[in-house]
Amino acid sequence: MTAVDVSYDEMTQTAKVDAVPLGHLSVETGHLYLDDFAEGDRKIARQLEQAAPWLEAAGKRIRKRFGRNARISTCFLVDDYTPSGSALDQPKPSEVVDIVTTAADQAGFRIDYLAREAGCAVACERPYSGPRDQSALADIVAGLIVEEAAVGANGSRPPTAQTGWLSNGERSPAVAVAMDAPDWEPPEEFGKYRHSVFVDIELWSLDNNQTHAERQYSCSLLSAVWQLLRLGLLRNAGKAVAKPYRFGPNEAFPDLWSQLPSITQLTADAAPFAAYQALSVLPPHFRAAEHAAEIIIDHLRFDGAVLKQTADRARDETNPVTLPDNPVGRMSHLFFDDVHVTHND
Amino acid sequence: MSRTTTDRDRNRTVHDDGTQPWLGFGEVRTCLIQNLGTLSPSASVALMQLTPGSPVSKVDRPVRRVVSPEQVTGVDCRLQVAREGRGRAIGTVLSHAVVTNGRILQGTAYVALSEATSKERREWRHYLRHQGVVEVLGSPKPHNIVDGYLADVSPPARGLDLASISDRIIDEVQQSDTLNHTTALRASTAVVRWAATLAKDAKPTVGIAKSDLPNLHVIRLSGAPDDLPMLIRFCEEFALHEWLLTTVQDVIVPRAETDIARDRDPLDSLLFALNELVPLWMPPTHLSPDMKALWEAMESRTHYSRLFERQVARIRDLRDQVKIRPPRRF
Repeated sequence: MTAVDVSYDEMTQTAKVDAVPLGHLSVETGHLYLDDFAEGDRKIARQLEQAAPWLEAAGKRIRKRFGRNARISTCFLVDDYTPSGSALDQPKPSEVVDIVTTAADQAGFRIDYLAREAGCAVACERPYSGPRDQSALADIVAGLIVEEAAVGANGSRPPTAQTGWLSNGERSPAVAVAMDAPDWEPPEEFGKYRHSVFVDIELWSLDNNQTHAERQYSCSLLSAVWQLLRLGLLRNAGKAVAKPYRFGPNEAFPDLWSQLPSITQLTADAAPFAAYQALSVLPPHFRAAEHAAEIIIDHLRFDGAVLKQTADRARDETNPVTLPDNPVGRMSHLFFDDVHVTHND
Repeated sequence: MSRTTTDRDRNRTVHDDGTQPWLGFGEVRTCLIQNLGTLSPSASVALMQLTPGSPVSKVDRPVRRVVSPEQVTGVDCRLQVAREGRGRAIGTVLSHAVVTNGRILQGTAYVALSEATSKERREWRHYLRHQGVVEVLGSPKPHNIVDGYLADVSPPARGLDLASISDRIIDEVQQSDTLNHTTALRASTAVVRWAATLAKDAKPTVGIAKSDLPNLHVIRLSGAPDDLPMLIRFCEEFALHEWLLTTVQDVIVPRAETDIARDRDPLDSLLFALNELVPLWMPPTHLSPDMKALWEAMESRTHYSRLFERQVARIRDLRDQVKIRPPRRF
């Protein structure tokens, strides 16, 4: 009797991981609230004008390293997640797109992608999307958080991330606020260098007015989602999420922000939205949320297949790119100051 | 306290930098899903979706086996070491749940132990890059760590607490709103605690000991580091089959005999066993030649399959008796 080699596999056993197009650099040229457009283009013009020289410098550097054909894309994030004054006064997506495009022209560059923050909480693949083409990205990222083990943690106690908070260290034990509380101990950053910079991040809050409270995600967590999208590291059960959508020439923008896709491609021949490196050029008040986003990303367990796929792609480029092991090492920020030069027109 | 068991074999336990684990520990709990009916395939998949956006693994043949995404728990604790030596374990423990044929729930926690890559605790992302591995600081002897872990069975655990982790995953699944929280049969949860000694070129071996504590088996295994996923799966499969044999032999048959003696109708639980439990007996010999060799070697010592067949024959006899002479009290 001879042995016959038979193999039997079921496709549902392991998920395939989609690849996403990747450029060399993604530059976030700004991040504004819908209310900021109430005064027309004043705020965005200032923001883009501040960003322009840094964008140019970053582009030069990338082209020097990876050649003239290096793929660089620009994006802009609009915050439609934070509840604003009144939905009636909100500018329509088409109006904002016009304002953004014009302001970018004046600043001397183009904005390739317009993203919306609520589309980071729940990704919408196309206009007027329903539950079937949506992915709860904030839920997915929150579910990937692995809390840092405190010294002595042996698995007996459930993790506290379920409380909606993540810290980079050991919290100070809860003590009654009393003058004579002798057992107060300071919080401590894990792996600190001499002194701690202890950060405690609120990931979400619950709207307590309703029986089925919906999570209201924090800017910190949504920034983490946004950065991961730009680095091309998010998947839903192996599938790519929030693919940029380009409206056809005769296709009108929806009237409501919630009907817009997560990411809208504004220019015809844009480089890929996601990239090996992500630079954010932002005003200083985003510093805390961006720092929190980095801490969150440092506490995520990534799908090894996604990381490997990205690293392999980078290595196979004509001019090979060596990516660091940790995704945070692919992000950079530039926070400009609040000093403005006033023009005497 | 609910109990569970697990199974899975898609973890990567070898470090990128080539440090090989020299020990593997785990705990598997097996119980019935608290639901009156059998879960449909889609309900099983929904129940196993413990992490949004992470794929659930599903295999339909020879039995339908649906596995949750891996859960990751960070630890930094001292090891329970027998005799002499001290060790500190830092890293992450993996755990997952498994539903077999929409009836049986298993919760599994497991971890590979490897040498520390530095004298101090490192930044957290280093440990997240090697999920399911704890690095051991200090140099206790491996056999002392194994003995210490296997003996650390009474809660609260003094070392790595894989029992609580596997227990929590069972609880999380059993508390789901999609279940109706009643079972057709009152059966207990069985626990299998295992430890594997890993060395390059070592041949797989298994030693099983039934503990004097009820529903607890302790397994010592050995093999090469690359065998660890197979050994984990072996323990999950052993736990499932052990639970089936125990449930049929110690619950179904004695209860039916008592019922018949007292003129009560035992038919429901006999039919439950025949229709729901017997089809689950499916030794994992199809998985790989190594698994087949390991399982068959275990069978040749324990004769589990033959014992199970004997119990099944006994159940059929009892069923036939009841049909010929129905009990008076329905």
